[in-house]
Amino acid sequence: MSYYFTIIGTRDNPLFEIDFGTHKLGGDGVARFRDEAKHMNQFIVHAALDMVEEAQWMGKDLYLRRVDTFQNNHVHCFLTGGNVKFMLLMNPDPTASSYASYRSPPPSRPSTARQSASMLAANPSSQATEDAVRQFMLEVYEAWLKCIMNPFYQVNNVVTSPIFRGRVATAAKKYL
Amino acid sequence: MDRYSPVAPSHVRVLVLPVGRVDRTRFVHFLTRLQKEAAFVQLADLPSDEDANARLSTLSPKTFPNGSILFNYSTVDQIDQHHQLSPFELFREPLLVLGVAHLDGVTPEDAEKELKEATQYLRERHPRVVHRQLLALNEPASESNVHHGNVISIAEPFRDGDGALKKAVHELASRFLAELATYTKAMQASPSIQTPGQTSRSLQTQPVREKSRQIGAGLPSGRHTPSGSEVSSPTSDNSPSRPPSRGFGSPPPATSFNQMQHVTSASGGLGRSDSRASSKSQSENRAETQDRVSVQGFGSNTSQEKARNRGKARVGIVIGHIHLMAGQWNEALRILIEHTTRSRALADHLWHAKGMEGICNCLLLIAWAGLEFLIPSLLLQSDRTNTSGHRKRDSQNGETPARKFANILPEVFKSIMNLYLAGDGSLELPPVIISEAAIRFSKTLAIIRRYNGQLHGTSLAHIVQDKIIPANGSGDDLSISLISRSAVADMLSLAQPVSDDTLTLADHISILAGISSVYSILQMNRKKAITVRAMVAKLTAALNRARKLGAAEMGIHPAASLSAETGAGTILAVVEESGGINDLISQIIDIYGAEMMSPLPPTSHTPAPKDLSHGSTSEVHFGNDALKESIMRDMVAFCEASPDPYGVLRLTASLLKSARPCAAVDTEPEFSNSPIEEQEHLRLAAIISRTIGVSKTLGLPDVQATYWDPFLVRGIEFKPAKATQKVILRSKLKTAVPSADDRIPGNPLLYDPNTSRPGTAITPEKLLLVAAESVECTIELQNPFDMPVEIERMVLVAEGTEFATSYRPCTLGPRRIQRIPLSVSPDNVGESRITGCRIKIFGCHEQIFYIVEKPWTDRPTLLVKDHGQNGRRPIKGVRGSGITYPETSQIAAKIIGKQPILVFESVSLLESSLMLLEGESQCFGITLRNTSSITASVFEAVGTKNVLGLADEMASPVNIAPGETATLKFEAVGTAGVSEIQADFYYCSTADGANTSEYVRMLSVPLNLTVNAALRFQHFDVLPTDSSATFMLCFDIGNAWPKPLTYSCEVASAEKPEADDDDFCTENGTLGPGEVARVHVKIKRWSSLADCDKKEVCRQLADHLRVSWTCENRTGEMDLSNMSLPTEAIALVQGPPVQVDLHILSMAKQKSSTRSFAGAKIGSFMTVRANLTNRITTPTSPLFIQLHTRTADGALYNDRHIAVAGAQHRILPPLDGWCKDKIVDFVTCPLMAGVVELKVTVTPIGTASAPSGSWVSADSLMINVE
Repeated sequence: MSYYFTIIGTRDNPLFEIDFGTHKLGGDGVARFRDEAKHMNQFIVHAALDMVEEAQWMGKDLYLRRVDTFQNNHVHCFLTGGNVKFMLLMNPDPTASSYASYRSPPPSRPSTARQSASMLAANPSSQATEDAVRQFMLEVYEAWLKCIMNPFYQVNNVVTSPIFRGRVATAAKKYL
Repeated sequence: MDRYSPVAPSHVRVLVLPVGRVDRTRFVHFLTRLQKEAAFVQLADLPSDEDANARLSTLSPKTFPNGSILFNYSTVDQIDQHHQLSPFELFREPLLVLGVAHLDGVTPEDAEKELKEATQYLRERHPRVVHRQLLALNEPASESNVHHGNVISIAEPFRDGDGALKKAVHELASRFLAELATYTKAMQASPSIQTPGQTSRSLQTQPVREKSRQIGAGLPSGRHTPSGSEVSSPTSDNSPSRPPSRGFGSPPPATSFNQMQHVTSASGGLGRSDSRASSKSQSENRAETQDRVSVQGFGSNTSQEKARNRGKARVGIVIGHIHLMAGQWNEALRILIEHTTRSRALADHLWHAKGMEGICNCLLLIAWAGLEFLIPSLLLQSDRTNTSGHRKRDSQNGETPARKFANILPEVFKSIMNLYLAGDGSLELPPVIISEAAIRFSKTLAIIRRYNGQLHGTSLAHIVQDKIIPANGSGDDLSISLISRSAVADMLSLAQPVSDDTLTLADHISILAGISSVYSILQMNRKKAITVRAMVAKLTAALNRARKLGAAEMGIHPAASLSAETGAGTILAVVEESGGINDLISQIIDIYGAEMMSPLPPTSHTPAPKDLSHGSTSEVHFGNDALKESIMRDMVAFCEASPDPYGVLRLTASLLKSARPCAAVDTEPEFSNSPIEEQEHLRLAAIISRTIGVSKTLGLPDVQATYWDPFLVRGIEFKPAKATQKVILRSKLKTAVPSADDRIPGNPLLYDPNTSRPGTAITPEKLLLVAAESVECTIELQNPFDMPVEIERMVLVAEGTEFATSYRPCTLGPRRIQRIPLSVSPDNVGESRITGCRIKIFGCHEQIFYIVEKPWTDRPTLLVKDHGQNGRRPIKGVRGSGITYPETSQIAAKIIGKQPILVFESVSLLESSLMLLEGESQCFGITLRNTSSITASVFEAVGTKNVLGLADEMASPVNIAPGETATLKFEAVGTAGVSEIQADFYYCSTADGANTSEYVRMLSVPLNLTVNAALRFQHFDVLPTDSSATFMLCFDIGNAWPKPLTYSCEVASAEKPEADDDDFCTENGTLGPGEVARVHVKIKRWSSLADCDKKEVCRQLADHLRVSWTCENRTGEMDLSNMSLPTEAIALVQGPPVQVDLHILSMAKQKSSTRSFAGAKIGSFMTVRANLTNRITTPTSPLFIQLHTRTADGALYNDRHIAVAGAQHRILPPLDGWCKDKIVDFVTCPLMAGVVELKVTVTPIGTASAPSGSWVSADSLMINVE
């Protein structure tokens, strides 16, 4: 289970990027995207912005739930008031998701079946997943608000604060 | 006709083939005509053929004249795999083959033969098609032409819009319908039709996991289809060797529940629980499917009956589709509804879905034809099963069928998709079918959505005819449209091909193209971009692989991407045809926020200076840099594979441009982080040079990039002209001494708060250039990249004139700002502005670069108003706030007509240096030559002041013809301390007129001068004399020359004391070497002396004294101007401010030179008059005047000798400045004979300004009393 979290500014520009793995079920919190996938993640998230723009007018909630699916990746989005998008891409088994030949054999870990049942991305539209992602997003949003209150931060600038990064990582550890 | 047209199932695929020799362009032209003019054939237009009419009762055009046949002309036969889908999707197979023969200039016999052969050939090659037809193109309607067999001939085949084509196609259609009727009959005879996507053989070749999925299906063929004779088409080849079907493209399994939902929902709705199997693990899958099969087998004891019914329904659905193609839409609808209902009842899901799709197609076409229709309950039922809410609303509103149809379409499509995806048990459809269906459905929905969710004329025209009508402004009215974009996108995502190994490359690419087209209808640019990117990546890989294979076959090493063997012709053809591709690439790159360079050579249009920042202010900050770089790399790879050298260059240059922050860099070495590493610059540059190199060897014309840094030119600076070439404004001739380092005046203040005020800025002086005369200038170029740039040519760009430029090619080094010298000469006379520089860089177009002197970088705008992709475009009215543009500078120049140039030719001296003794003078001539092509006129010649001058005053300007010389006489005077002298000649062209020309030039001729000392003066002193009108100057005069000198000191005549015989007036003598003599000269005061300051006194004194010397043949006159006198001496020279002059009235002087009077008688009265003169401008203080009397021996004052009437002293009022002749009279009477001296003294009476006794002025005279 690997996650790629990015914050997209108003001009499709990434402000923050982090990838991490799950901490649940004995996960070590390390993302296991393949090199190719790391590259593709940005593209997938970029393409999902189209869906965000569609979904954002549908409700009044800032959290837009799952907005897009691309092959085996699910993208959840949280839209701030300033039109900054928090995009969380989750891939249940990145080692298995090849973009060139998608259907490679499933992973051979014996406990996969049991684990994946409780994994979030294995069931991306389930209420449990949505709740966890929502909580994660809200916590990041709080950290984000504090971060952009920095008078030296200008809109649409890249966030380099290590504290913010740490907070995102903590939130990820807590919920995902 | 689009492959992904929403009504593609109703298209009749026509394969158009050239027969015999047909010119390629002609054939293509004819094909385009067919596609344009004959794609839609109305049944009403078909000729009524009584004979045929009888034969085809079902497909007769007369039965349903409103229908149309939709021909899809193409030149390529679909690959075999598509044919296998044929009866299920009949439109994939070409039903009609057109042989196009061009019988121009062929004898009828030959023609007949040829046509016969062609007919034979077509029959052999295309045995399965329904109808084969030859079309003969008779260009100049040669009536003699054959009517061989069933050949249809067309007159005027190449004239656009000609009716003959339509007529021919009508005939063609009518024949085709006749054949189709036969085909239908054959089809009706077949008991069942196989569903594609089933494998029965060669399981070994399947991947393991697919094998597992197909275990159930892997039993003997026909397990799920009725046993018995299977006829897939009348001309079926009954392929035992049919390759294994590749199509098992199912949604991704195992980890994604997304697709599983479709399965469950679909099967749930239809009461089939067993198809959940697809999500189970392998072993379970196997077991369950086997179970299910057995259950199915035992489930009904009338399985044979059921299978036969299924078969019948399937045949019926195919027949319905044939009617649909034949334009019999009403009939088709009826047949389809009937058989689809049956298939549904029999749980033949794939065919049920197929039938539903056909029904939708029928309804769309009927609606398009403008006919009335009712929505069959079949669709409504399927709708009801999913959402009952919709239905309620529909019935409440009482909408028109079209509107209702549009409203239920999303649900209908969704359920059809679900059926397709679910497959029939373990049987799954090939991914091509699913993907294409998904694209068709989503396209239909997208189009309907585009027209506000309504099915009306325009939207239907778009759907059926692909006629795009610009949507009106309210295209996005969500309140009207029930179809949400995300719903359409969701459906479209089903079309996304997920596996490569089961799709051929062509299909894969084609499907991706179809998906991207629908995204573009939906205006989901980013989604479109990612699809196109995937497509381009596929294409690139395919092209490269193809090239490698091809190269290997030819025995060529495939390393070079643009190998020379490709040939220029091929590449040019590729480039020519890739116009659309280029647009696509530009679009995609634009979506990712990167910027493409203009493909046009930039010299063809002159961009406004504002364009410098084009795409660099807000646009540059759009998008993700990593993505931009990645997408551009992909595109470069694609262009390399194409091969399109132009595209490679354009993209690489764009990539380089984005590699650096778009900025006019500062000299400070602070480059911000660059998206591309330094090594990459070199690599990209290598790509460019390699591409250009290969293109050159191939002989491709004009393969050049656009240079990637618009801020190349950072400044142009003209070197100040050499002194000989400098042109001076005549009005400034006297005021400013021209010098070589005469610069444009700048503001001396580092910070001047007033500079920003209007009118206070210093306007830089205009650059003055002379026509046709070359000037040196330097051009400052920046190169922030890590690679050197070769500059081949540079030309100044100016308004008003051209500059002839001479330039040596040079290299601009990496990461620097470099100055490059250039010599330019303007062509025309007049005002001009230098705006930039046209520079040709190796591998790039010649481009105009504007001058950007000040450092500038783009700043992201702080105003965040844009939403999504709108950020790429400027918002009206918001633009400009906080955005600064780079300032371009211009150099104003004034170009004047040709000016002559004089050079110094020679000087008439033995050596070019002079040796003079101090005070000596010598004449010599300076010769000048005119090297220019016009006559020069020297109107003034000036030498060093006091040293050198013209020997004769210049009466009229000296004209010097081109190439000629002229000599001017000069006289130099030896002056101590001067070693260098120069003669300045001012000249202009005679054309301008010597006195009227505005501009002049100056030539300076420097000469060396050695001055040796002759006489030396020392110890100047001044002694008073007895008269207040004179003083005595005395000094030492020494001989510094090693030879004897004769000197002569003389006081200028006017100031000589009156007595000529006075010895002190002149002094002569001879001095041996080193000898010193003291000289005394008596000098009369002159009038302007008293008022001067110390220096002036010395200067005037030097003017009045002439000291000349003679030594052998040399003579000279010494200059005393630097003599220095002590302060007391100065006072003595100046004398008191008031001069008093004493004389006796009515008595003559004895001698004019003395001051004694004779003839005074004892006892007689005489008046002694003192004449007072104020010699200075300021008034004096009150004066005290006193008369003193003395005897000749001067010892005693004695009243007995002379008596004075009244007081001997007076007090006088102040004298005004320059007041003359203030007279004071004393009346005296001598009492004894003898000599009496009378003396008056005048002193000021003490005031604050002039204390008493500060000076005394006196005069005296002697009276000889008899």
